[in-house]
Amino acid sequence: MLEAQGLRKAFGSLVVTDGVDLALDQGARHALIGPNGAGKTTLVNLLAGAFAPDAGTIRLRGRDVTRLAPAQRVRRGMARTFQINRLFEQLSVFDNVALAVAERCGAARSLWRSLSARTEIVVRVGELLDAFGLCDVADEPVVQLPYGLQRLLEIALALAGEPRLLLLDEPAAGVPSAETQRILDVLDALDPRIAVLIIEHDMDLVFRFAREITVLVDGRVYARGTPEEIAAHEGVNAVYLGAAAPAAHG
Amino acid sequence: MASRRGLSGARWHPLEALPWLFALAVPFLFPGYAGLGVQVLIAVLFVLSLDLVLGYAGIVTLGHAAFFGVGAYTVGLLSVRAGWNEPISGLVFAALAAAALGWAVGRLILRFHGLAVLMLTLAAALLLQEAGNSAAAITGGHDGLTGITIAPILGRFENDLFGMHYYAYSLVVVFVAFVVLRRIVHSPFGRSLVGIRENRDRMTALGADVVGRLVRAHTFGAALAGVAGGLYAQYNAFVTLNLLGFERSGTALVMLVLGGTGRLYGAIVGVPLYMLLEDRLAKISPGFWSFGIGLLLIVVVLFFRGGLVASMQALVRRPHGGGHDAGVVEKIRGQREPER
Amino acid sequence: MSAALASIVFDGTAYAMVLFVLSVGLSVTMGLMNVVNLAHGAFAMLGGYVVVAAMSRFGMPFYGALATAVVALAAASALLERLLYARLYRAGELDQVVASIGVIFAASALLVFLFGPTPQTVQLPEHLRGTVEIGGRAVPAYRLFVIAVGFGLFAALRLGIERTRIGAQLRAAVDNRHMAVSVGVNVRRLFTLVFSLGGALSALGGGLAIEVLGMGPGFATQYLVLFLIVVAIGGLGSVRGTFAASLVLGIVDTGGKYLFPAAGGFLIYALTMGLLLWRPQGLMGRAAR
Repeated sequence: MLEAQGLRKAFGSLVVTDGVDLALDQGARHALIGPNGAGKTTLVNLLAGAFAPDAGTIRLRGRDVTRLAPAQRVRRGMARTFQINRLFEQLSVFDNVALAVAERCGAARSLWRSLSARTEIVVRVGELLDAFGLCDVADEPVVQLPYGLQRLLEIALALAGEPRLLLLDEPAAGVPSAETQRILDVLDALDPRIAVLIIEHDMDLVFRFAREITVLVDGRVYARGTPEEIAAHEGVNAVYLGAAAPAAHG
Repeated sequence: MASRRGLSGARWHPLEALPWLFALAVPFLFPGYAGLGVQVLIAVLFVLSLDLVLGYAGIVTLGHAAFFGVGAYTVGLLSVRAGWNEPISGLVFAALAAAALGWAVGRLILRFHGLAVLMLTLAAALLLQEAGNSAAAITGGHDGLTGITIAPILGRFENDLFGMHYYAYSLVVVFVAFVVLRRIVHSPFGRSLVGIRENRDRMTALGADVVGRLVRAHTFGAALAGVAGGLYAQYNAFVTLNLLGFERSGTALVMLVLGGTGRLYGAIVGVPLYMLLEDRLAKISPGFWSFGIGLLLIVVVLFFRGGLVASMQALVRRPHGGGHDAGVVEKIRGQREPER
Repeated sequence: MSAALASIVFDGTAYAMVLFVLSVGLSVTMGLMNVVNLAHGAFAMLGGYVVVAAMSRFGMPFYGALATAVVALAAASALLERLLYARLYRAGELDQVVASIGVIFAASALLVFLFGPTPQTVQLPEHLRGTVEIGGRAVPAYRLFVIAVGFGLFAALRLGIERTRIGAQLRAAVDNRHMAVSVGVNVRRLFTLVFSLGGALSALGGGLAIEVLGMGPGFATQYLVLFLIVVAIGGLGSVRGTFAASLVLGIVDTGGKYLFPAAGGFLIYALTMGLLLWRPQGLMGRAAR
């Protein structure tokens, strides 16, 4: 699904990503962890096309997308969420999802019939809202939602595009613990065919969700393996997990 | 629930007929004012076109009048230099010329945002004005172009003493344009413009070709502005380079903000409001008008965001958000019920 | 070097210096506060009128009148910043544009009410009228004065920004406002201070401009475009950029008027478009992140 090789990115003299390789198969559940400043978000930005890499290649579903603009990568089946929500705050939840679904259905072509008359869009929006438990707040402007629901919406928007690859940048970040369960449920319920790369600091979430973990330190891949291997990895424990490493789950 | 949401929904709400019925009645209620009516209609169309570009797509442009001017000059030049004065086709040519220019300018400029776009649109309009001045032999330069004529509309309606025929013609043109604009604005394309305006990065992350979308909106807005300009030329029989100028763009901006951006009806409300205020206040003294409108603008920006239309809507206490039709959410819920 | 070229460069530089003094405040405030202030010319206009009034109604000498205008507008802009502009920082570009248009209208109307619609003039002091002998040529004294003021101001601003604490705070806040706040910069007070300085400088520019550009109630709208062009080309928040842009525009415009008078503003607008298309952030502005 996704193959990144030798990715390198420097801002001035600061090398943020230094020769990173990454491969995700269909249905992957891959977590990216590491200390702050390790370059995790930059890596996601590189994959998503927000920055162009100084070196290296990115292949999506077999096609080289290294030079492709972000919007085009989305059309090829890549979707991402942002660490800080990028939502249409003044619009209602319904409108937010509708915009995302409309893009999927080819909004650019559609100048004549109104959005609400396009039943396929409306139905799909309804399905998404339902799947995310957002039906009750569908009419509310996003800015009035509790942060946890906003985070959910952020993920819903990414899924509206029916992606094959999903890049999640700290989906649970900043969400009060009372509301994280819904996010966990959503992650569990993700279509098994989608390849998912998730950046997270919440180790419980990581170890519960991921089947493979990459540890990024100073822009380089420090360690990679299954959750068990990573939990047992001495270096990782020293560098990052410390005493907080949970017992490896099955 | 249904009626409250209706005003911003895609289906026509009964209240929406009001301004058009009123416009229809004007020549009968105020017979001598058909001429003023035409000017209001032309300005409404121009400001509507600006609303699409600025209110919906969020492109803050100070050069929109350039397209108005280009439309006007297209009609003017066709009439004076080429002897072509069939009115409806004149408007079509005006629209096409303005659209072509709008597309070119858009392609060039809309990849940027912020101050750069503001300045580039302004510079482009000023450049065109100067170019028009240089080609004075053709355009008449600073003196303008006179002697524009129009043939009878549809081959039958000559302009009569009270300007009724021309009024009817303008009203039809503006109404048709409005209907088209209204459809566009409620379409997925139109809604995506709002998305681009609200959060460009998110739209890109959804896969939208943002710049392409904006160029299209800009082109269409330019075309409508061109039609308005064409109407102007046909009615006034005289065009000057001021039509492209910064002042005209600025005035349209002010009218739109007074009425409310991004609502289509803002244009319909803002234009007559502005012209009325100008008429009343300027009669007291030009300084009074200037000062008054200056103060009003500051007050509107500070306290009445969204202009007059938003304030009126707030009075009726609409729920926020929601550009979708009444009952859509209920419809969805209803669909899910049988599955439980 | 032919006499015509020397004339163009000299006159162009004088013109450029007036533009610089008029625009530098706008560049810094727009760069710092991210607010589009079309009304900047209105401050210049008010400053010019204060000079006129101080001299004609209160018999002040020219320099005293300039100083008065600077102080008066410093106070007035600080007030206006608190009352109006502080609320506009969060508002969108459109709101800022419209509000500042409102300020221009109100200011122009006020001036017409107080002084009438005709252009205003001042009597320059003896030593600024006429010409000065330099290297065997007769150089207009006033233009020399303006050039001196412009260069002097540039040096003073550069020194102030590079060497003082306030300058450092300003640079920090322009670069990254949130960081500046978190390291303890009182950004609120900084904004008011800078806005006040901007107003004071534009008042100075207005006073200088009376003789060079003319002064009337239409000054703000007439020269609005020019100020915006200087600031956009120079790059927001950059004193050096504004200086460079003023020089480029001043000399090109003057040259254009001498060599291609029929072209009018064409050269300037084409130059503006070209420069902005190539570098939308201006010559010395920060590239969009």
